[in-house]
Amino acid sequence: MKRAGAQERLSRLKARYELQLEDAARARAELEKRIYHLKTLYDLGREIGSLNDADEIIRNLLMMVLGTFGAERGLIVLRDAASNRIHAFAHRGIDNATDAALALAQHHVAQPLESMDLRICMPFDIEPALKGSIGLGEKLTGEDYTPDDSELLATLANQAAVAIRNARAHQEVVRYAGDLAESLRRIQLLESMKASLGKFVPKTVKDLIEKSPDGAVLERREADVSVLFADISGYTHLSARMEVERLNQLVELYFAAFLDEILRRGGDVNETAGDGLMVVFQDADPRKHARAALEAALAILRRTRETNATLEGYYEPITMHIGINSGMANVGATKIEGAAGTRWTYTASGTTTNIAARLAALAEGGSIVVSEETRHRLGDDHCLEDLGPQSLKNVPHPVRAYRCALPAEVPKVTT
Amino acid sequence: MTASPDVGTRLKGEVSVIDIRGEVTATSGQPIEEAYRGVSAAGAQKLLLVFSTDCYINSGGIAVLIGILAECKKKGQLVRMTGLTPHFQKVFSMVGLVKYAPIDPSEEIAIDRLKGQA
Repeated sequence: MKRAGAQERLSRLKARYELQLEDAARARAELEKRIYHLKTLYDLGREIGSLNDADEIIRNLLMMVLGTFGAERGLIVLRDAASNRIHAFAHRGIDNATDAALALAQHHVAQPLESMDLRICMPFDIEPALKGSIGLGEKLTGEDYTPDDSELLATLANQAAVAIRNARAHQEVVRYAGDLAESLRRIQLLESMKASLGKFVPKTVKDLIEKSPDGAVLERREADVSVLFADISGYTHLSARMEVERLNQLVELYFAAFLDEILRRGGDVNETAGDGLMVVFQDADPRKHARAALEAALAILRRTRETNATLEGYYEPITMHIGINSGMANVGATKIEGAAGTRWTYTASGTTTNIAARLAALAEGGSIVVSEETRHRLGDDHCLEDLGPQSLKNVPHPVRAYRCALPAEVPKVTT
Repeated sequence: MTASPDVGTRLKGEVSVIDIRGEVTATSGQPIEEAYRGVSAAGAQKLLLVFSTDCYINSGGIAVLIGILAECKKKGQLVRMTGLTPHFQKVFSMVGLVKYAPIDPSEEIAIDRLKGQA
């Protein structure tokens, strides 16, 4: 009796021990599973943390979750939240991947998608405008997905969402940097074009364009100006005796010297035509631009004498005749349309300009002729010879003209 | 980014052996897939995956192996595995890989068993 009782106790103890062993084995298996899942989380961070491409991130995420849960089939879709349009997707083991991706993009809940045999689905948020979904097929073990699996899948997906957000931010920064580099390249190109075009464009135009890049200030307007015309005396005779290339060299030498003097006094060379220059002077003070024009004219004569001396023996000396008039002119851009194209020029036109050109024709070699209006603005600082009223071509009324009395040596003019 | 594993193939009688050494991950799994495609194209019907003891396999790497074993199943190829540490034996068992490819304690035993399988 006693022996039977002891046997029964022993059997009960053995059964309890075996149950405890089974519990311990289950607990150990569960612990190993948890460790494996933790390791997966760590590995996922390591694998995708440094990636800058959303497609690459979802491909990696898909492989990690397939390996974690032991599934052969899986799919990840990124979709535009507003339109549900698929932004990107990755799949493995799915035959009709596009149909499955479209179906998963419409499936916004953490429930299986039976039509595509996806046993677990997990939506996740990346950005307000971008959503993601993961769907996995049956486990190789044949076991069902558990609530713990859902929790782990959500954690893995959220980790990937952070990586995708970072990747998109990085791509945005790279795109901005690219745009910035392109803008910089364009600015450099424009600066280089500006520098090159500046050689052909009057300074006033450059200043106006810089002040108003839309070109509004280039529109024509009435403005008070002094216009100077300077021509080479006897140019026709000279050109008949010299080769064209040699003549061009000669003109270039003189005009280069004139240009420095003109620009220094704020004049704009608006036209150059073979033997002549048209220069416009503008200033808020109407007396100031008249004085600048005369000082430039005197400087042109002085530079002519200097250059003649320098070139003695190589070229025949030349003389310049100059006319200056002051008054209102129509200033601005003028469009010249031809069969071959359109050209814009910035100039001053009207009677004031016309009279200046006629006064230059009136002047003899080595002299400056100014109008009464210009003389009035110059005051008594300069010695001017009254030539009396002059009839000028295409000018309805006679114009009183004055010649600048030149000393034997034209004094150096300082501004 | 991980370094690609060192993968080699050899023939042991009728068994095509794929030796795998190093890190097996999603990004570095391509050489293993290429080795499998190579032996498969050569007509292999019996395959043995031999892992070196220093092999590290993460979840992405397991997904690569699942893909290969699923392909073997479709083609009716017999596969076994050996060389895995006890840790990876447990992991492979946990994720169900052993249903597709049993794990053997040694290469010799695995080859004997493959030879015995029809």
